[in-house]
Amino acid sequence: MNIGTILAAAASLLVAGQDASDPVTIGQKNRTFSKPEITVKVGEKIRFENDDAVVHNVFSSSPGHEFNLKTQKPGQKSELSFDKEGTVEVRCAIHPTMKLRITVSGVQK
Amino acid sequence: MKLNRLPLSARVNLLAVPLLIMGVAVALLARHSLRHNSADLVRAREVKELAVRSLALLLTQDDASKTMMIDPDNTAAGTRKIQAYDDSRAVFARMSELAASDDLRRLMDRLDSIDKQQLRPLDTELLEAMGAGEREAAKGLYLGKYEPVRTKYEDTLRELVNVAERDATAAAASVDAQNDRSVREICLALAIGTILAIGAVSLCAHHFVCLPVRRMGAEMLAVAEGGTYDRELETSHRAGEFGDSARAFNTVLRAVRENIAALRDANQNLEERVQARTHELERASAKTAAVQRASLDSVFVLDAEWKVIEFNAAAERAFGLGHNTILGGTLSGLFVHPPGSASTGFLQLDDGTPFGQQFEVTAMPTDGIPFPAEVAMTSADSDGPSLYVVSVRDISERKRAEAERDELNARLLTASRHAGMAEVATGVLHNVGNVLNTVNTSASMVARQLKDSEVPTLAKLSQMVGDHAGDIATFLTADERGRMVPSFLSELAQCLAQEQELILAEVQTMATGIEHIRQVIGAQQSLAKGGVVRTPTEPVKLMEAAVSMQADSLARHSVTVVRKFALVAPLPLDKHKVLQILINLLSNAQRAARDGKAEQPTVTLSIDTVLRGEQSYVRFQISDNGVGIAPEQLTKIFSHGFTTKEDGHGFGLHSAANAAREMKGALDAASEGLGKGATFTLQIPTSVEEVVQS
Repeated sequence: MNIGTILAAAASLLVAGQDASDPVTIGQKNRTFSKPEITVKVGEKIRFENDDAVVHNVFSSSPGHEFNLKTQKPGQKSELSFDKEGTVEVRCAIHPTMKLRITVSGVQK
Repeated sequence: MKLNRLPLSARVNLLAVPLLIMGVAVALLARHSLRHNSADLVRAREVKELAVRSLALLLTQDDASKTMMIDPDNTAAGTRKIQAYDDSRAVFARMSELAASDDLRRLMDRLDSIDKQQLRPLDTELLEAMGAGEREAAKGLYLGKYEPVRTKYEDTLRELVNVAERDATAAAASVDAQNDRSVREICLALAIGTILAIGAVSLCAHHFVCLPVRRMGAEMLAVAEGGTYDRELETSHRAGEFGDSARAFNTVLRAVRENIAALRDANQNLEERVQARTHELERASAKTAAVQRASLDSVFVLDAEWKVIEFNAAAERAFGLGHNTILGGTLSGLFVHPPGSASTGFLQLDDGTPFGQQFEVTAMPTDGIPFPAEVAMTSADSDGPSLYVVSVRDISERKRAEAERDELNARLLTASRHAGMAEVATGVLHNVGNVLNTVNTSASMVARQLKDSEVPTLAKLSQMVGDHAGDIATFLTADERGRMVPSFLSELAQCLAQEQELILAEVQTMATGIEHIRQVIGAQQSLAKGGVVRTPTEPVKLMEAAVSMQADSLARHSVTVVRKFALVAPLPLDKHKVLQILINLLSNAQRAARDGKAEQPTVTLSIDTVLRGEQSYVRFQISDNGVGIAPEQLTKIFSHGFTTKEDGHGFGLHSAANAAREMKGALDAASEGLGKGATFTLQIPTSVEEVVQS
C-alpha cells in the first residue's frame, strides 16, 4: 500500500459515519497505544484516535504495509485499511516506546 | 563379523582407527583450548564494536530529531529515528551481557541513567513541542537542555568506547599467552596420543595381520619342507587376501601334485625306455658280436687314428693272427701293396681313403701265402670318437668260380649257337609243317579228284568212237549208244570243266601254301636280322587266308566258323608274320574245339581296332568253345617247349608271341578255365614308321 492509498483512506474517514461497518479503534493516551496488538481482516478499517494531551506521529515501515499518519494533534482521528495479509508494526515517531502490532488476515469484507 | 574373518585390506584399514581417534581427540582439545583462549578477546572486541555502534546510533537519532524539528511530518526521519532507537536499545542490552570489567559496567550504568532520566524525556518533550507547533519553545528547550545532556551522553559513550578498546587490547595480550600454553598442551597431547596410537596400531597389526600371515607362512613352509603336498591350507576360516592366498597356494599344491605324478610317470616311462634301450643295445652288441663271430669275412674295427682295436675270429683264421698280435697296430702288414697302387689307400686315413667302395687287394697272411681279397670300408655312426670298419673277404673261391664260369660261358655260347640253330630249324619245321598240312590236303584233294576224274570215261568214248570210225555216221545216228554220244560229250565236258576248276583251286591253295613256306623259311632266315617288312594289307584277307588253309580240317571236324569282322582299312602289316600267327592260333582253336565237349564245336573270329593311350591297334581275336586252359597254364603257354598236345612241340605259341613282339604288338590268351574255351588276342599297332610300300 502506498502513501496515496493510505491518504485516500484517511480522507475517507473525514466523512465518518457514512460507512455502515464500524472500524476498529485504536486509542493513544498517556503516550501509549490502547492495545498492544490487534487482528483485522483485509480491507477492514482501523481508526486511530489521539486521546492524549500531546501530539503523535503514527507510522509503519513494515514492507508492503507502509503508511504515515503524520502529526496527529490531540483529539484528531485517522482511518486506514490494508489490502493484503501480513503483520504490521506500528510506531510513533515522537514516542519510541509506543508499539502496536496489527495482524491482517482473512478475506476482505 | 569376527575380526579374524575380515580380509587383509579391511584389517589394514582398521589399523588407522587408533590414529583417527587420536587425531580427533587432539583436534577437539586444540579447538576447545583455542576457542577458550580467544573468547575474552572476542567478547572485548565485540563490546568495543557495540560501543562504537551505540555512538553512531546516538548521532543518527540526534540527526533524525533535528530533521523532525524542522519537518515534523518527515516520514524518513521518523522511521530512521525509531529504527536507531530500537537498535540502540538492542546494542545496549548486548553490551550489558558482554561487559566484564567494572569500568564498563559503571559507564553503562551512567549512560542508562542519563538516557532514561534526561535525554529521552527531553527528546520527547522537544518533539511534542514541535508537533504542537511551539517552535520557539522547542528551540529553547533544545539549546538550553537537550544539547548539553546529549553532549554529556556522547562524552560518556566515547569514554565507554575507549574503555572497551583498552579491554580488547588487554584481552589480545592474554590470548597470546594462553595460545602458547595451549600449543604446549596440544603438543603434549599429540605426543601421548601418537604413542598410544602407535602402540594400538602395532598391537592390532601384530594380532590381526602379522600373526595370521606368519601362521599361514608357517603352514606353507611346513608343507614345502615336509613335501606334504596333499596337506592343503584351511580356507573356510580365512577371508579376503588370506583366503585368496590359501586357495592360490592350494591350487599350486594341486598343480605340484599333478606335476609330481606326471614326473613320476615320465620317470617310470624313462626308466622303462632306458631299460628297453639298454636291452636293445645289449642285444645289438651281442648280435654284432655274433655276426662278427659268425661272419666268414675278416672284420677289423679301427679307431680314429686308424689303429686296430678289434677283429673277429674269421680275421684271426684268415690272417693267422694270434690274439692281441695286431691290436693297436695298423693293417699295412696284412696286405701286399705295391708302391703307387691305388688299392692301398685304405691302409691310411686321409682324404683319399676310399670309403663306401669295394676293391680287390692281395692279402698277405702271416703264413706267407697270399690270397685275393675284396675290401669294403665304412665309418660307424657314433656320438663318441669315430670308428671305422674294414671288411676283408677271401675271394679265392670266387676267383676260381669266375674262371670256371668263363669257361662254362664259352661252352654255353657254343651250345646256345647250336640250340639257336635248332630253334630256327624247329620254327621252320613247325610253320612249314602247318602249311604243309594244307598243301598236303590240297594235294590229296587233287589226287582224289584226278583219281575220280572222268578222263578215263573220255578214253572209253574215244575207244568206242574209234571202233566205229568206218561207220561213224551210222553209229551216231542208228546205234542206240551212238545216238547218246553227243549228249554224253556235253555232260563230260561239263564234268571235266568242274574237275579242272576244283583242281585249279586246290593247286592255287598249294601254290599259296608253298609261297608261304618260302616266306616262312625266308622269315626264319631273317630272324637274325630282326627285320619286319610291312605292306598295306587288309586284315580280313589275312584272316580268310588262314581260314582257307585250315578249311579242310575245320570241315573234317565239323567246326563251325563264325565271323565278326569290323570294317578295317588296309594297314601296314607284315602279312606273313600275321598269317603265321593266325594259322597257328586257328589251328590250335580248331583242335581245342574238336577236342572239347561242346555240342557244336565253334571257332569265332573277330577283327576290329582299339585305342590304347594314343596308339591305335588292329585286334585279331580267335575264340573257341573247346577244352579251355587251366589258370596255372595261362602264364606258361607262351614259353618255349610248353604244350598240352600229345604231338605238340611247344614252339607254335612261343614263336607267335615272338613274332607279335617283333611287330611291336602283343599276343595274349584268356580262358575261364578248363572246358570253358579260350580266346587268343593279337594286337598290332596300326601305324609304324618303317613302312615299305609294295
